[in-house]
Amino acid sequence: MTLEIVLVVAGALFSIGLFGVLARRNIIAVIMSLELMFNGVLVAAIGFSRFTAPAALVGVDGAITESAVRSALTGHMFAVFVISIAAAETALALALVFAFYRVKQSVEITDATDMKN
Amino acid sequence: MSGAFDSGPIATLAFFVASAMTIASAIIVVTQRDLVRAVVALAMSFVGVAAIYFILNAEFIGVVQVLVYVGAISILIAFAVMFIGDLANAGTLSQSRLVSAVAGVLMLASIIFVAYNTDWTAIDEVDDPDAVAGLVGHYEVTDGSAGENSIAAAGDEIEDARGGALVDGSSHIGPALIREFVLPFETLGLLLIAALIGALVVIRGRQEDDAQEDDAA
Amino acid sequence: MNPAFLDNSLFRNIYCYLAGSSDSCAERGYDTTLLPAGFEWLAFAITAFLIINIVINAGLGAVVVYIWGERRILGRIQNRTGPNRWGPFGSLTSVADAIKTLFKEDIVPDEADRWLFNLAPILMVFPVLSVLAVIPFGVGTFVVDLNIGILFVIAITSMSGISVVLASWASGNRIAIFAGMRSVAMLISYEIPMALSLIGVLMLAGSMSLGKIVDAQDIPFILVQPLGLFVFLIAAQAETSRTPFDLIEAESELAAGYLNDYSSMKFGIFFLAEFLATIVASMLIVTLFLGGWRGWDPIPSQIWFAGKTVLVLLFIMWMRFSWPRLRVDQILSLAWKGLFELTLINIFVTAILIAIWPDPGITELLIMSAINWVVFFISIWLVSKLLRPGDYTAPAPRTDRPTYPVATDELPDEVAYTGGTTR
Repeated sequence: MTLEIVLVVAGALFSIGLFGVLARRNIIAVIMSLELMFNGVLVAAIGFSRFTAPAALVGVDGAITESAVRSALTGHMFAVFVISIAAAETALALALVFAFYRVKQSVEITDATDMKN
Repeated sequence: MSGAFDSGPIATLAFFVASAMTIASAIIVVTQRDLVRAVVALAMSFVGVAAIYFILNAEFIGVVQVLVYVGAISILIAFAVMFIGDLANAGTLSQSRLVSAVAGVLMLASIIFVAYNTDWTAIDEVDDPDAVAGLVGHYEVTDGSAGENSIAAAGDEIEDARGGALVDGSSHIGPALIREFVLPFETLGLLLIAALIGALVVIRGRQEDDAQEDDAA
Repeated sequence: MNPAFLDNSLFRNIYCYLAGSSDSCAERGYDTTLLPAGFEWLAFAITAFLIINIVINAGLGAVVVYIWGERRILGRIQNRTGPNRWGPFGSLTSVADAIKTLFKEDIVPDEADRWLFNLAPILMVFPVLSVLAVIPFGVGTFVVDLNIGILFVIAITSMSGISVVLASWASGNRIAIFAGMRSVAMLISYEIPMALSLIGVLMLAGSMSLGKIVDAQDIPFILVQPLGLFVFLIAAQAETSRTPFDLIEAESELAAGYLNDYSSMKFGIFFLAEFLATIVASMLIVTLFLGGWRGWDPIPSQIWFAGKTVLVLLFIMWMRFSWPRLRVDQILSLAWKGLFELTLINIFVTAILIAIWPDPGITELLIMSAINWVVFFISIWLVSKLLRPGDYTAPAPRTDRPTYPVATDELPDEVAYTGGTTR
């Protein structure tokens, strides 16, 4: 289990999400593919944190402090924040989808082509 | 992290099973015409990603993934699909399907190329150049006897100082949120409140106008 | 393999019997080896498989005994005998039930999506079985002792929401979807009080691991965290959809709610998932608030754990047939306006107390528990004032029709059928 394999898996998730965002016509399907892209990025971040972050601890002179340990957990913190923000963003996106449906009676992105006036 | 690099064949096997499940579910999400099946496949892929996080020693993030993504976001998307999702044609356009597939394959190819051609052992913060010599192939060290400046020795030192706390990364996330990452943490709180109020405003915005139109008509 | 696995006594026994030549086993004095030296991964796999098998089968067996016990005890509460036909005291009733359920006809409605319809029971049972993995059943008897045990439990139980959505949608009829949505609204509303009520326990024990929480209970946390136990008990009942929260299986109302179209073994699996969830919830209450497997010496710790679990299960059964069912708006207002505030008060007070006494010994814990019990009564009184039952005045009695006296044999003089509306 090397870092490269983890990055390949993360890249595969990201690419599949990318295909979904570009090729799906339904807005909700686009939102689902966007979530897949988020997950791909986070798998890569956690993979980096597991495989390369401990090396940063070695370079610290003297005893390893807790602050250095917490900085080595940056990938984990990134994941926590991105997961929370993705949750808020999905809620808002679905609220916008509902508002869009109320105006246009349709959920295809090909119908989202008109500006207001 | 003296025990952390000792992956073993069972962890590798589990990683491959979890990745296979995740990627298969992701492919179902992007190609399935029926959106409810797509939502179920999305939930399965989230569970697969959480399993990957567990295998990569990030248990806290794995649990947060299940709690937020599977327990909340999947239900949210499933509700949206149940209300308005199956009206329109949920399939893909034929022209942009080919171009999107090409784009996806190109992205994957570039990621694989970058992943295998980068030297991941280069680190900026190392002060002691002799320590770098012990880091080549650092993610294959399996026991704690590789010298004073190796990662395994560092892990042992942290474990002795903290009573084994580094093995459990989740106990450091709390202090990290309050000390190093306090600014993003508070901003996240503001952002969540803004998202909550914004979603309510967007949903309720036009209801009084619609009601007046219905009364007038 | 992480050497921490060898703390689990059952694991250690089986693994070191199979692969005693590995280093960590040799330190502890095992030297029998059934597998050659390079096959430690096989020993790990066999041991893991055996332990998971034992735990899951024990859980399912517990459900069978529990179903019989519940029907029998509820019968006695209602002043009647429970089932007493099959076996002594009706103890084989669950077996008869299972055989009957297996032989029923398995109907899949036409509008239903077959694949999802068949998948939904599996998704319902999987979270409940996973929680069994982190509970310590006795000294060194657990499957795995996660560092984040409490959070794992909460996250896994939140997965049951998506399976309810799936089950209701896959049935394909509107009644099921309505019932499913009400049920999901209830489930997601009660996740927050359930999670927040455990923060007091987490603060006192200093760790999320369930094994360490049991170790930290020199006095059981029911004394020190009464609000936490109160809120967790109610929220766990709601999460497992027991009366007084059983909107779904309200037998006198929406048929079987979102489980309407499920027959035969699929319904059996949903049923099993609900009862297993109740047993797991009571095991969690025992672990977190009643001291887990701690007890006095001559009786082994597993028996203490089982005995305490049976007590909590009796209490939950008692709650089931004492209170009427709540309406869905009452349930949601209880969660958001009642339990949520109680949990916030609990966290606040516990945090202040722990800031005053950072490392509590037994006397400090007793002082904290006295303060917490006073806060418990005051806050429940205050919150009950907030959740006023509303101004319901009984309507004035009608004067245009004769009023019949209840439970007597007499009829009033002017009783006559006027031939008007049939009311």
